[in-house]
Amino acid sequence: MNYTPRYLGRGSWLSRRDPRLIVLTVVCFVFTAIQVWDLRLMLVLALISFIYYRSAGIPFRAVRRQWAFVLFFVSLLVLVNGVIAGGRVPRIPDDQLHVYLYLPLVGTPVSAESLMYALTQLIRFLAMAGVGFPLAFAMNPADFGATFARLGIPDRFAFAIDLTFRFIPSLAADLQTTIDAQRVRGMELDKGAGGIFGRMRRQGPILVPTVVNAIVGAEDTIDAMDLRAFGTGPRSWLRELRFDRMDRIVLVLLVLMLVSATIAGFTTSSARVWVPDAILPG
Amino acid sequence: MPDPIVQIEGLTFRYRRATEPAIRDINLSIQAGEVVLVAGPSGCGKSTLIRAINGLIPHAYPGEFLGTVRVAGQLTTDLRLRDISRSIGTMLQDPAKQIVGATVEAELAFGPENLGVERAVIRRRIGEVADRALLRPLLGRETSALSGGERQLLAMGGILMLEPRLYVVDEPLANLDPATAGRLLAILRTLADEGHAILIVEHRVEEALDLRPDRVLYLDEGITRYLGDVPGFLRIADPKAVKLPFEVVLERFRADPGLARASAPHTSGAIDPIPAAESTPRLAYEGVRAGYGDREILHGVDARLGRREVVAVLGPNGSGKTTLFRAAMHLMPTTAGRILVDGAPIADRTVAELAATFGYVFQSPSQMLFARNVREELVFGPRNLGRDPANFEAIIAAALRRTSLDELDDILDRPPLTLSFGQQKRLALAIALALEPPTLILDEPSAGQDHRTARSFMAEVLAIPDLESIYLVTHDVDLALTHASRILLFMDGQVVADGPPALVVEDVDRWIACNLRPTSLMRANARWRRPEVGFLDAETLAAHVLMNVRSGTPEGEGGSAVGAG
Repeated sequence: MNYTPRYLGRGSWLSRRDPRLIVLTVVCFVFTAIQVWDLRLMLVLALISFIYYRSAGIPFRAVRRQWAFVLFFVSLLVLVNGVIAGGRVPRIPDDQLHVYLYLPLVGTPVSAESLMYALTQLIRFLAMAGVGFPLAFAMNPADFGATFARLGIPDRFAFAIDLTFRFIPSLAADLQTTIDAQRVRGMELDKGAGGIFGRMRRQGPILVPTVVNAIVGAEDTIDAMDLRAFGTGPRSWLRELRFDRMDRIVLVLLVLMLVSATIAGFTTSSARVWVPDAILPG
Repeated sequence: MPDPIVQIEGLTFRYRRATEPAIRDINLSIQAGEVVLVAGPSGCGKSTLIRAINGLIPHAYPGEFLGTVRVAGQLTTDLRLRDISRSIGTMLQDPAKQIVGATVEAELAFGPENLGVERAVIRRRIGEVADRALLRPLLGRETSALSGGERQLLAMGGILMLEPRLYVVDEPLANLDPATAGRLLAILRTLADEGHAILIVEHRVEEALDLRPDRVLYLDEGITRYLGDVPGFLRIADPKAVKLPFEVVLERFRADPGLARASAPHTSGAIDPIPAAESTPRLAYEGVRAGYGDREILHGVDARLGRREVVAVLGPNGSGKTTLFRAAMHLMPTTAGRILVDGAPIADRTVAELAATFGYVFQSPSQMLFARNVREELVFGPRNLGRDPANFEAIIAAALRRTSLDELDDILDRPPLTLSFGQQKRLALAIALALEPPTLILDEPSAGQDHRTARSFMAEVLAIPDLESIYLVTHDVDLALTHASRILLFMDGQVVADGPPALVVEDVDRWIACNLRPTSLMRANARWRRPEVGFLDAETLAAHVLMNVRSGTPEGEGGSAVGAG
């Protein structure tokens, strides 16, 4: 495999942490965030996510396309979810909703509660992305395998995760080579009618060679790994991982955050959508 | 005599879905300290032999297995791959497929980690191997940032880390510039001198002989045609099938005049060169800078490639040779300067429009083949360019004829991926010709092909009528010198020499600085070729030398200058 994921966080505060902390942060943060529905608390989590993201030192210009995609995807998800859910809001009965209007054609009610619900969801997903980006771009690609192995995942699966992170950009590079090979045969990717299905059908000259080469290439890689005794017994890892004092402090704070959110979910209104009086109709 | 590291007796192997065995009745034993060169045309069974030695056959490739293969006295059928890998280290042909580590250290550690070797021991070995395989400057780098040559050395390092007794290396020189190839061979030679055994499979026999092999195994159609010492091999090897040192070719021609008579006269093809300076060039670069992301590859290139020329671009791995033509095809952006095609800037033209001028043949044909049959594959381009469907049959027929593919039975209905590599290469050429371009761009035309197939491929390309120019990128120095009317020498993203082959090779220091090295054919041409003719290939030059000798002209420097007829 010719490619590795981009390592954009080199030299940052986060890059000096034990890489297991990056994985555990994602886990703790996600489990915390999914328990919170109060926008005020969610904004606090978003702030934590932002500070954490900044500590990874990822240059914005290097990931702005990824952020644009995340923003588009998350917005679409929230919108579709709102329409499919029929304007309902968890833990709030339909007859207690403060409805502004009903969407034409589908009849979905748009209420103060559903708007706050959607907004909280949007902030949550973006906050999760903020914590997830360092996993993809600020973790040393050489550390993936050892990190997951030391988190208790079996060696074979840990290395498979490592390879997957590298397989995707390698596949993308092979795809680009095939696109170039077909472009020099006069193929214009954006040309032609026929809607989405017509377009998909026209991707055959791109997809067939890419898939065939990926399969053949994977076979060679498997051979190469077999010949170096991969997966035939217990494995050692060159990379030595050790939590330092700062790692332990951060880890304790993460666990405290998760435990607090869990307790608050049972004892306070944090698991209920917060609706400020100012936006209630009439 | 101590027990051999590998002992093969009566080995015949047929892959599960194949109708015929890939190798038949192979007998071979390899002792410690011995170097065995395996040669033969494409499809002769070399890869199958390697798989049988390293245990992939039968552990990963099922099929009918007859005979025995013993590693350190034990049958491979009874051993696990883990155990075999302690004795046999295998370097595959394509290092990009072999390298699984994200960084140089991770890649080196991969094998020992799999064997559960302690961290401190792995670290110590990395230090030793980094020195031995010249990897010290690469430590700390990501494997994705390495050049092709660096990857090959790293793949070698990954095998060295396992400290095997036998090193099996499959065409290690295929994608290397001559200097890097020399470095790799030197590492292997040192290993052999220290008592390790080496089995090297290589098409580039002339360079592989630098390894001073003890024996040569020559395979053809899965059968042993020769197994013995090097002098014996050189006496029986067919110079047309195997690239041999010029002195050997000359000796063979002298010993067997029939060979010389059978040698086809060298031709520079159908293109009569007209230098770029004498007309509007087909392709002109003016201070062009280009690269990938933040990494600039071309650092201000100025060059003019003529309408009627065969131009070969030579240089080290990663020097920007392929990037030069990718930029011309608009496949990558330029950051400065401009590129002109037939006098017009390419900035105003699409890739599809440029495809009507340049037929671009990629190094690997499998990157483009997608259709159910050859017919569909060939009409894809003309259809994209909006050519009249009424002419498709004529276009297909002409493309097949120009590449000799029309000689294959039912070629139009055959699935492209069922063709051999050499045939796929010719199909890729036919695909490019179907667009009826006046100029061909060939990226590594000889890579992955044996000597005979590569020669035949280039001869066919040069004989294509109505073709105005050919630009090729290659590591094959002799191929470039004997087929091109002009050489562009590249180093570090810049043109460092530009001129006729005879002129460019004069500066030996510059030649070596570009990771190239003088070949026996270069030396022979310098000694015997008439100055006014182009470089001659080994067979043509040898035939002429002998003809001059027979006609009474003394054989020697300056005394029997010869040229193509």
